[in-house]
Amino acid sequence: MEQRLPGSTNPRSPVVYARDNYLYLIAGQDYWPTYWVASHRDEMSGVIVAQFVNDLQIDTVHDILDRYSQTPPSGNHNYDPLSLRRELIQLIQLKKIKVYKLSRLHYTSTLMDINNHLTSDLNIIDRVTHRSEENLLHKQLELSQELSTILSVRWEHKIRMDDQFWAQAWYNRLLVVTGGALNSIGEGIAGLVKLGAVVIEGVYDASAYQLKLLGQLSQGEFEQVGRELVKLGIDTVNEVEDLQQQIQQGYEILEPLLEDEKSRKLLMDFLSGYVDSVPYVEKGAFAVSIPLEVLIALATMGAGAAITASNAARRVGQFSTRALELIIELSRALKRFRQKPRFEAPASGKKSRGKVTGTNDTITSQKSVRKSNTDKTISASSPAEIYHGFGSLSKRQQDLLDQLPDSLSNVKLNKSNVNVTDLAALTAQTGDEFALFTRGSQRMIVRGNQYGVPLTRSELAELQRQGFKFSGHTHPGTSDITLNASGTPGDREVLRIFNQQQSLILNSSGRRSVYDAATDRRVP
Amino acid sequence: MQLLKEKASNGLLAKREWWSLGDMCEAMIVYEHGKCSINITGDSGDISLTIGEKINKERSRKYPTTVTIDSGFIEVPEDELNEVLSLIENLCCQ
Repeated sequence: MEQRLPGSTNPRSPVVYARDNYLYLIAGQDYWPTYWVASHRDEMSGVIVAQFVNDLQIDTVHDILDRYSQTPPSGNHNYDPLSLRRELIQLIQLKKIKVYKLSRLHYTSTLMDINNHLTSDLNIIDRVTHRSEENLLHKQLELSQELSTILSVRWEHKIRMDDQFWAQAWYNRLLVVTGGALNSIGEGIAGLVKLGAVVIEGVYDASAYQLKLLGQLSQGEFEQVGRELVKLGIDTVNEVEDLQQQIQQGYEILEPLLEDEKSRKLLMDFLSGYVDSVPYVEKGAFAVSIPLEVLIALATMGAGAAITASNAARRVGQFSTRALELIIELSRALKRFRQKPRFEAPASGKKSRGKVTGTNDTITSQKSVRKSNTDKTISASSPAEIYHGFGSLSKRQQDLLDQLPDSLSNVKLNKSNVNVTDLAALTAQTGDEFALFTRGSQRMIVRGNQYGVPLTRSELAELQRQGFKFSGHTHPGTSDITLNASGTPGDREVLRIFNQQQSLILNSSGRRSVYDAATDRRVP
Repeated sequence: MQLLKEKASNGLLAKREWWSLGDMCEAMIVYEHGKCSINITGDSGDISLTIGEKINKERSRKYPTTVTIDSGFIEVPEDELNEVLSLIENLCCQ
């Protein structure tokens, strides 16, 4: 039996009924779903609509018709129940009354919100940018607003398409999807995706998408790609090698954004949001990716040339030309930021075991140190040196960190490829906690956040069941107090889960302590 | 309340959702076998236990709290999640 949930008293506003594990949002034909409703809707096709209506209490059917039908059945409840149900089914199928079926886990307050898509995106973006360095904030904010606008416009199209799609029976929907109906997207990306000429692709790595450069374009694809690019208003070069060089130049413009955590998140949020905003029927052909024409356009614009862009909306791939301009500006700002000296060291030089580069007195930023010394093979810095800005991660440590881009990402390695000092170095570099688990010769690192490694008891118990031991974890900070295990149950609870007597804690300076089941700190 | 991101379960991790609660707090919800574990962070850090205590003071029903690797969790049955989240949002906004 359905239960109506409290909501607005306005007689035309949507109502929500709860039944079994679902919520049913019912509204009039002029209702425009929110981002939430549109992205979480479940199947509501012919047979399911009929079943839904037939299972409703007759008073509910009457109420719905009263609210949303153009010709409500008045206050008289003596209508033939069968006719009322038929009428409601018909109105739903004709979209005169809209029904959105959603998992019960979604909240009434969210369902009843006004359209919140753009607000939602801007909130996410605000969280990203406000944690960024001041001098990059403006560029990131400008880019984020442009990207949000692109997504917001796309959602209008998606909602209309999906309204039609979800109203079809499942066998019809299957035909639509497998038919790969890409024709309604008038953008270059569709053509290039079909050609397989996507050069950067999002790879889902345990907990986060990362962009990776795929293989080079072959000679065979060159002419066809060239024709596609000309159609998009992008001048192309005559030789495949030159085109490949342009691709590389475009990638180099994107690279600083991909290396900067906040900018990468901004870009990835947009790309995954873009995939979400593709109407369901067209989704099969899309992935989180940056197609070739975007790289070419970046290279062309980065070199100071204008592009005519593909259409009236001035779009290249997923991006507006304005967004591309902003990406180039942000890329330059990030490069400048990376090159800026972090601080001036005293003339006597602070002791850093030979890691000072460039001039005698200036300690360059960590990334510059790494770059300028790539060929000179500097020795690994200690965690304390990294923490205080006098050193940098070794290449191996940096590779490790690249595989752990954000909280809860994890990586498995051979024991010989990682040690506990690496863990402290990663914490010194990022300010986040890391946990280390060992099973035979295998080690697994899980990245946490600045407050902890948010794995639940069940997840830890599963690791224990798989044979892992809890070797240790880090606490950000350099004071001795950071070496204490967190209070009962806290870190000691983890020992209990793993049936262990002790484990290791390291801090950002590489100092370490062992704690055991009885005391928070065993080694002073 | 806004959903910030979600991740499907994989070999190691259970399904998770991240929600913003008001302007200052964020909740991570882990879905495990009909039970949800909620981790809440605010500007001052992980506030799951503090919020858990407040909820347990206000309600006759007590929800277990736990800390694993420096991260606090409030454990609630999945069918009470909406109610508890609304309560958390109110507490976070105070």
